[in-house]
Amino acid sequence: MDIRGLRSTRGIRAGVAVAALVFAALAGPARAQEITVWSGYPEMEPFYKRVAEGMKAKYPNLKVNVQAIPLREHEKRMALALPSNSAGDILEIQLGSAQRYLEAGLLKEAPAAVASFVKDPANFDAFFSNEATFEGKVSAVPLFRGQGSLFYNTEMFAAAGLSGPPKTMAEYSEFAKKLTQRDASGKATVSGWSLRLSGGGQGIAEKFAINMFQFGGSLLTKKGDKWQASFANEAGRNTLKQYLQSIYVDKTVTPEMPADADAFERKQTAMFIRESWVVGDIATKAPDLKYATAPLPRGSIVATVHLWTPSTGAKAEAAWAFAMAANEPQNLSWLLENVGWLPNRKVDLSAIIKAKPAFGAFVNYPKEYGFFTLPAIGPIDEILTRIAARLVAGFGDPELVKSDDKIDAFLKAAAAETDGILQREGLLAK
Amino acid sequence: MSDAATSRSSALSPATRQRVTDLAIDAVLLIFSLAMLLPLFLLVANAFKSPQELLQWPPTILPRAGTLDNFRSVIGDTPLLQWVLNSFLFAILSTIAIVATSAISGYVFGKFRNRLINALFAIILATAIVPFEVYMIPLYFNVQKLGLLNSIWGLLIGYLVMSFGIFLIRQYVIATIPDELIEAARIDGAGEFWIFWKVIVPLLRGPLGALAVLAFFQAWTAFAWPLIIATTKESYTIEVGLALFQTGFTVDLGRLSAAAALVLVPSVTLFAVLRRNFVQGVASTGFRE
Repeated sequence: MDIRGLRSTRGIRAGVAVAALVFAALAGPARAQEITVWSGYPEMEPFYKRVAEGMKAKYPNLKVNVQAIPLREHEKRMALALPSNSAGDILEIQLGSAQRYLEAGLLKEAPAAVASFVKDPANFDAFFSNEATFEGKVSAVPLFRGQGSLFYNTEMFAAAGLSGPPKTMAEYSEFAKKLTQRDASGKATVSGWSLRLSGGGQGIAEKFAINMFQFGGSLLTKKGDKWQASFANEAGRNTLKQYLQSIYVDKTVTPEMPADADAFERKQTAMFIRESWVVGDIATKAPDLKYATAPLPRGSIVATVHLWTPSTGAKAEAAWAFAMAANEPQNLSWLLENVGWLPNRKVDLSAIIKAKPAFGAFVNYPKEYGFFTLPAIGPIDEILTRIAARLVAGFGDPELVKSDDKIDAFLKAAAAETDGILQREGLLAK
Repeated sequence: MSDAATSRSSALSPATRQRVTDLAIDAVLLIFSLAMLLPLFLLVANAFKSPQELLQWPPTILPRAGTLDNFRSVIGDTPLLQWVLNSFLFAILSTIAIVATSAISGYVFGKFRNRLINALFAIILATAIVPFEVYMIPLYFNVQKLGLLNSIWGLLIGYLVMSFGIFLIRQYVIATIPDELIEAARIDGAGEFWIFWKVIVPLLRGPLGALAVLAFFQAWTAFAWPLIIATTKESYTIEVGLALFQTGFTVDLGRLSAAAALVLVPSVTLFAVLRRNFVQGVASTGFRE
């Protein structure tokens, strides 16, 4: 080939390449697109990657980046990135945290098809679809939830002559007495029931709220669109009394004793209440532990996590498609089996529960089982932290257990502080 | 004390008493050193333990059945080396910037006195008491407007100047560099930049070395700023990357320990190389950060 021919071939090749590029740029939906998922749970990363992989057949040009970081850091990032329009396209947020962004118009409304999917009772209980709705418009797709159940060591139960889990709060205390192991001096070495008595932050108040729910109470009550502290009453007294009696009368647990999942896995406690992630944690750290799970007497706290988007246009379309793909039954089954978080959508999980019976208590709860969630109001974190600080002080005060009046006065002071915070924020119901 | 014991005690010679005292001091220091080193030792030991062994109570000191799984996992499943590289680049560039700005400013504030310069120095000194978190948010918006999120340049913007460094060098310049030396250079016809570069900087080698170590560790251990500036996994620094070994409610202690043990290598190496400057600088100023 002479030099002229070579130039001509090069010219044709260049022309074809340019045409291909122009065609690719104008091809619309077929063009490559990139969306980013921001998650507050690093353990969710493989799940989102799997969802993205599953979308390849329908969206071959879609690239999904998954950026997961622990929850507190995730929240800090969103607080800066959402107002400055530099956040991811799919945000995994708990309703409580999403509220302020919804009010500021930073999270977008779902398209009609997604809204119909979320509102369909065949897919979600009203509890979850309502949580994904803001001012009458669906703004998110519910994905998973944290929900409490009782974990109990079956070997310790058998040794104590107990054939099944406690079913009432009175039984929790009775069982704890039988299950507590003591040294020669009578000091508890293995707690019968691990209660959250110390540690940082609002978890103590949340655990107190879970126990109080079993007595028919709640930390806050909604009246109209305002709120009021509602724990200075019989339910609050019964709950706090049970804690104090466990510490000072029955001596089945102390603030110094190891607590939570690690203690259960090390056989330092016979029973405790926690979310479904513990199933996976036990499988990794203590695979030989003999244990079972059971629903709580009346119901459980539920912390729901949804998928939202701040994006618009083509990115929003892809984001909603991703949220819908995440909710496909096979993905949700994988989520429960491999990550341990409970899907919110109604899907058949029987095969997984058969293989891992410990998930059963989280999915197969009684019909009248109740769910409650912490109010999605601005000062909720401050309220819980303040209540927790007071509870820790109360758990360390042996005088309280001697008189119901003292317990009532303690709760009244704590409730007054909560109401003060609500009043400051213009949220106090009269 | 009995009479016999008293007489034995008084019978010790001054040299023996000194030796006993020295030995007691050595023993106390040794115990404290071991206590300080124990967490570091446990960190490295934990990196070689399985999840089951990490759960054991009481904890094991030495791994019973050592495993390299944690190291394999952190190197294979995460861009750990990329994070280390990002941190290293960020820390080195920040150190260079801080050393340069501190040397120039410290020299100017130390040797060029007038009201305006004094006022400027007072303002810079006052910024030392403003926590970084206070101006972090406006700084973030500036970085975002400049389009520098997820870049090393965005990270650097918050770590170019250190008011403490300027103060440190200024004090050193005032205390140890005589005006006559600078005057002599000027009489010999030297320009101001030449004086700074050829006369002042060599004399500041000690405090600049100490400042370099402080600046390096400040950037190396930074968390809040890299956390908000770097939102893609590839742009994380090591401090942010280490946070990923935490799940919703638990910490993956084995992998976290393995990653932390690997990350210790560059910082310990740098400290070993510059330890003399560090000690000299801290000793000569009486300050530490």
